[in-house]
Amino acid sequence: MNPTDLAAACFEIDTELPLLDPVQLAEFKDTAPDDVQGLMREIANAFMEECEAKLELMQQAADSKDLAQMREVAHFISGSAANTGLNRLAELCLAVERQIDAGEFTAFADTPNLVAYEVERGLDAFLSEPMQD
Amino acid sequence: MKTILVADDDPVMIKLLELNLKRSGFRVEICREGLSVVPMALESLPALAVIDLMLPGKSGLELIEAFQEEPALAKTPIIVVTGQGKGSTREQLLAAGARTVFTKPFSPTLLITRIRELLEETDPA
Repeated sequence: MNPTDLAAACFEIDTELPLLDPVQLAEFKDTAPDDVQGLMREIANAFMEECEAKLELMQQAADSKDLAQMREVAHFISGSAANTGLNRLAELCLAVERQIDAGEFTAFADTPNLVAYEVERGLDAFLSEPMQD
Repeated sequence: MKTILVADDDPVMIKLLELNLKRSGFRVEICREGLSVVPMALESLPALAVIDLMLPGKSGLELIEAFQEEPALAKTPIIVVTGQGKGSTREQLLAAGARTVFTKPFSPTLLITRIRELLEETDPA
């Protein structure tokens, strides 16, 4: 099963959900009207660096079936992704968080890879987004 | 120049807020760890604090209470930023003393507008 379908199966993530949130991306133009591409590269680097550390924690949580840590990491990535405009990733991590809160989370083995996949896909789209300075 | 304290461990949030606040003419202090927020605030006496609800070491709710217990910080307006998952509700945070709650994703531009409004209320020009 490909990751998109797996995310749909595990977390009911709409397969057509857009990768990026155009409203949040527009905020970057307001923040740095003279160098929006430069800002986006900085944001992407900061996000990627933080995600590498968080994904390691997520894998540890998955290996030890630590729900509290899984939730904490998912919550962090969801918020950070949302503000970065990585819509699909934010929704996936929010779904993880909600499933844990509802006592329904079981996808320990699949979650780190699904999140890592959406991080990569989201950042690729983010850095390819044509934002005019 | 007024100082805004930003207490958050998310580098994306820090970058976006720092850029927007500096462009708007504020001095920015960053704190990434909950236990350091109050000592830093007592040192710099910020005009306003933007605090993440789930900061490592001390929650946003605990920090609101800690600010209120310090005479030098009790009147400092606090804006809380939070993700969408379950946690302290907007009502709980406002009841505890937060002046505004922003949920991610939010517009940094609107946050700056709200900061200006709160500063105008507490220290009219």
